[in-house]
Amino acid sequence: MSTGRSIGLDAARETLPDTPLYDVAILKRLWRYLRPYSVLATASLVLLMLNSALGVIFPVLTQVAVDRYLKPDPTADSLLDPWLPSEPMQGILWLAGLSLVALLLGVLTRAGQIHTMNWTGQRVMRDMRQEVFGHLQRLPVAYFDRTPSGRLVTRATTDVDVLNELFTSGLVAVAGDVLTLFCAFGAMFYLSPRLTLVYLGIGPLVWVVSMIFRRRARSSFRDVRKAVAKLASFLQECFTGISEIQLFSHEQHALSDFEAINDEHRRANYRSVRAHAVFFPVIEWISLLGVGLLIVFGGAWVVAGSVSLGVLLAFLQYGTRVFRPIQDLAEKYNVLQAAMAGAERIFELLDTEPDEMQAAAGQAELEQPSVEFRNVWFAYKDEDWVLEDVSFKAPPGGMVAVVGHTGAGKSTLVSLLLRFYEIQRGTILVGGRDIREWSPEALRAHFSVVLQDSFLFSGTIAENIGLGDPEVSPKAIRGAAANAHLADHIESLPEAYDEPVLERGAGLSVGQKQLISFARALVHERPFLILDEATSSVDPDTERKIRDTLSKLFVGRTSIVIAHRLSTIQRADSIVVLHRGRVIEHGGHDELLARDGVYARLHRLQSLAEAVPVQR
Amino acid sequence: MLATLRTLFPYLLRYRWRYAGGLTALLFRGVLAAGVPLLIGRAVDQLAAGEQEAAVNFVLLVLGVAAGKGIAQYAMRWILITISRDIEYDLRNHISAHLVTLDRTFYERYRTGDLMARVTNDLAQVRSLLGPGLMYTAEIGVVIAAVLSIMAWTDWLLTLVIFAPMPLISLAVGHFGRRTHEQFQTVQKHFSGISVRVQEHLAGLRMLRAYNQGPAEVGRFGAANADYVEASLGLVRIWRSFYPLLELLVGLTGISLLGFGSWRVLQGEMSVGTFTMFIYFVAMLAWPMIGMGVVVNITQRGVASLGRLNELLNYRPRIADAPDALRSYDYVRGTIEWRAACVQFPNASGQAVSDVSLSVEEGESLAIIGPVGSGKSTLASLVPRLYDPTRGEVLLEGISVRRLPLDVLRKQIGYVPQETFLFSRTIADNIRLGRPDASAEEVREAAHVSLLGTDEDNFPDGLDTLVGERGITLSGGQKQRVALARALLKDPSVLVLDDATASLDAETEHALLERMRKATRNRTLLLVTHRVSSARLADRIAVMDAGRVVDSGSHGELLARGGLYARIHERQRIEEELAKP
Repeated sequence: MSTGRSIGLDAARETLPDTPLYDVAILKRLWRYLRPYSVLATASLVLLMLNSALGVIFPVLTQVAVDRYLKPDPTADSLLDPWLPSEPMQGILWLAGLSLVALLLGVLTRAGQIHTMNWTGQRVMRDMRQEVFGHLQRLPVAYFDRTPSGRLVTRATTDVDVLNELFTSGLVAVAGDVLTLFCAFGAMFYLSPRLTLVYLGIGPLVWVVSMIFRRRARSSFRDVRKAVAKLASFLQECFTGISEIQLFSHEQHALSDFEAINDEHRRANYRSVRAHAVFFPVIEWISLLGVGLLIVFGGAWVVAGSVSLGVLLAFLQYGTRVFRPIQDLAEKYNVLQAAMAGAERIFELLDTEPDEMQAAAGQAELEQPSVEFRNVWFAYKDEDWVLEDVSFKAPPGGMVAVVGHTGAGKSTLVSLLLRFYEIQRGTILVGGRDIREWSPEALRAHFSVVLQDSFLFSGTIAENIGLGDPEVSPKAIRGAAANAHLADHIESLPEAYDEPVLERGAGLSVGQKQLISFARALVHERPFLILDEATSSVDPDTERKIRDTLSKLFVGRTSIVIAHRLSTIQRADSIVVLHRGRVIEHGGHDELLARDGVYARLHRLQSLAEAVPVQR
Repeated sequence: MLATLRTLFPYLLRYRWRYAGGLTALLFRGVLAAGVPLLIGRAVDQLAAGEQEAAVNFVLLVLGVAAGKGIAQYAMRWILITISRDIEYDLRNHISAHLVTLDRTFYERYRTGDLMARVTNDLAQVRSLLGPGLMYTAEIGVVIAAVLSIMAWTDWLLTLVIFAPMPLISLAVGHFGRRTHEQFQTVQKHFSGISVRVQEHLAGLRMLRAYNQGPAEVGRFGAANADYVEASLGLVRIWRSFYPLLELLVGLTGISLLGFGSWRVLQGEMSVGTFTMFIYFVAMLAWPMIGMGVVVNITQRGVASLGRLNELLNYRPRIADAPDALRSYDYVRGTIEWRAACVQFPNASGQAVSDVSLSVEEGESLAIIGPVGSGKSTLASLVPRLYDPTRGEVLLEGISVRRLPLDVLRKQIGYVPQETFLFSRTIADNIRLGRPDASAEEVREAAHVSLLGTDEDNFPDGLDTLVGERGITLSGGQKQRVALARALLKDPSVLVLDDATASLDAETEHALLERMRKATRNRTLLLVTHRVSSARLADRIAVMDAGRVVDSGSHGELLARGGLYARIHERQRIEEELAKP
């Protein structure tokens, strides 16, 4: 049983159509997830076996009913004989009672089996999702730069769900089908080995037909998959590029291309429909052929008196029953293949090497809050240097302003300081020690950070400020909000600090979002502040609030600021002018003015600009 | 529900003859299938009487009837399921054709992922409703009718006793179907919950890492994960009662047959063969009874999905040809006039454009400059009708753009956005977007003017280089030049560059604009920009702030007045200084 979610689009687009159906390595690995629940899983399997066994009892009881009471046959005997009364009607009631007991047991085992199987499946899926998400925490930031986020969302959601089908509809149903086949054949063999052999005569035919179907189904499944992927790609392009399509009057062309792809999808499905439309009637006809063989041969033996009529009747019932599992098995094919593909993709993610930096975990004391970049070189790829030989210092309690044009490498500087990436050459020192002496977590615990894009997650405002840190008291949160000029606004909300923030902070203005991230930095009392000033323009009132909060932030912290406001730059103890990854000027305000270089020019122009009256 | 289903009526009508054929096959299949146990029962009676040869004849008859049933079954499946595939195909084309007519406000509301889910997954559910859903419903009806009538005709009392639990089955199916549906909604909600958690985490990755939120995030994800599991187990709790209950009720029919049927045989009122036939019939009816649950499920999902598709189909484009569109026009000249134009976006506090009146002569170039959010882009986007003004109007050659047929209007306007989209095709095909029949020479010419495909670009196959998913990734500047070439190839009367060269460095931008201006001398040019260095190339500059045009004139005039323009100019000089080594 599944929640019936179809395979995700992203998954469909990525699926390698040739994932083998039974990859032993994958199955083994899946088995490991099942191990913590082995007791329940075993219980589920036992219940499944009991259920299958109970399911084949009824025909045996009809055999007894016919041979003993309805058309008494002295040659036929059964295990039940000693207990059964001789009076026919009483006997029949006995048998009906027995089958009622079997039915009730069957129903109970079924309920138990559904419960244990799904409980296990859901727990396994939960563990797996948790592992995928936990693994994401260990992957380096660079991994997320190159992997589309949609794909990662699919891993933790749809792929795991498809895998659920492998456990519940797939493997367990297959096991159930196989067990039912075994039990049915066991019962048949017990009743009459000879008739069983006759019936098995249709076996090869079933096998051949199933094989042909399997091949057809596989190839049409592959074609359908490909067609779905094409359809999805095309639609995605159309929806993303809808403006271009409309502005360039390209609608009719796009639609006729789409019709062709849509038609391809339809035709691939036609082939799958045909495979199924042929398979089911053929297999049903073969099942009746089996019934026919039983009547012809078994009938001759019944007339000759070597097989009882009741036994033949029981066989006639089994003859139709064993075909249900066979049809089921054929239907399960697609589910299994999709699940295997999902498992493969999940394991591929889990096999991605985690952040190597974790390994170098150490605990260094922070003696004094200073920062130094010493001849740092960094490239995201090969030798495409983003930073070349960068050196500068921020003394304890001091403030460094980094200025430069877009693309000069300012944001990279921040990422390196927080150890999102490893530098190729040089050293970054914090408190006089190489940052590699800390684990990334220990290092980051010294920093309060405000990035350009103020990130808010769905939760309450208090949670967004305090980040759920138990050491941050509600009082501290209120204090920080007051310092960031947010208190009035927050208290005017219906639930004040417990007001939920919508996804990505929808409902808050850009300025308010910035102030919330300032409050977050304020409340976490850490020796360093990293600030990437936002460039987006805000109204003058908010601008004033931002400037004021900023000045509070700088107090008592060693700050590294990517500055866009002149007011911020002027406050700095030292200024680093970055150009195309190189430090072209570095020093204090007066020092740089005296040098009469880029910064001096900048300063003159800025002063001029500030002198221009503002019209608002 | 019927109102929702109305969308499908035209399609059902279109395929009515094939539906009739498929349903006829289905009817044959049902009747022939009911005939099989009848014949097997007779064969058993012959055997019980010791007539083996007569039994063999019945067997041959069974196989013959079964073959006929098989053929009918094949025809039924093939016809009915392919119709559903055909309708799926038609509907998908229909929806797509509708979607391409919808405007920006629609695409801002419905995200790409959501639309794709509807056009694929939801449509698949509707397809299930039309194919298997309809087929199973008819099949269940026919099989139940055929089997019950044969049984009742043979022994009505026995039939009545055996099928006493039947109403209970349909009650159970109805009850649990509803509960499953409700619980399924909860499951879906929590499923989105975990997706949102992962999406948010990825969006704020750096921030979260900087504050060491890893363990806390794992905890938050764990909570969402647990909620989802809890909801799914709620579904399991329903199934745990439902499926065994169905098996119980179906099993009871078998037991009452064993008890009551045997009694009839003992009384001599029924033969062993008939008893066998009844056993077969009871087995045959097990599927239709359980199948009712499946049908209910398919129907509910199909109707819910159809509702989601109807939502798209019922969305009327706000920007479309007016009923009184001037269809006789196939060309307009590039005289533009905004007449007291206002734009108010839903959910926005102030007007994006308020009361702007401005005009541009044919062949003139006008730059619109202003801070971020000043409304300059919105003002320009009114010309190709990306939006319509909330009040006031925009005129082209003195005619309101609303009265021009949309394709005529857009043919005459080359609009280049800041963020362009390139399709996964060759660069040349991307340039050809507006004129698929353009010659290679014309494409080369447009690329040449846009400084595209120079040695610096280093395209492996020149303009035939594939871009996008299966090809190379272009830089922001290269993309913008493709977009420009694309617009130039149309040879429009009005060229609108909406911050379209922002990714180029100032020097390249300057060279490009000059070159382009030379190539389009007699065309009207609207240049939306935040750079003074580009704006000064225009004949005239309009300065916007907070949705209003606060100043206009030539570069010199504006500087002399010392307003916002002068301030922007100063700030940019500082930036330029910084950019210089």
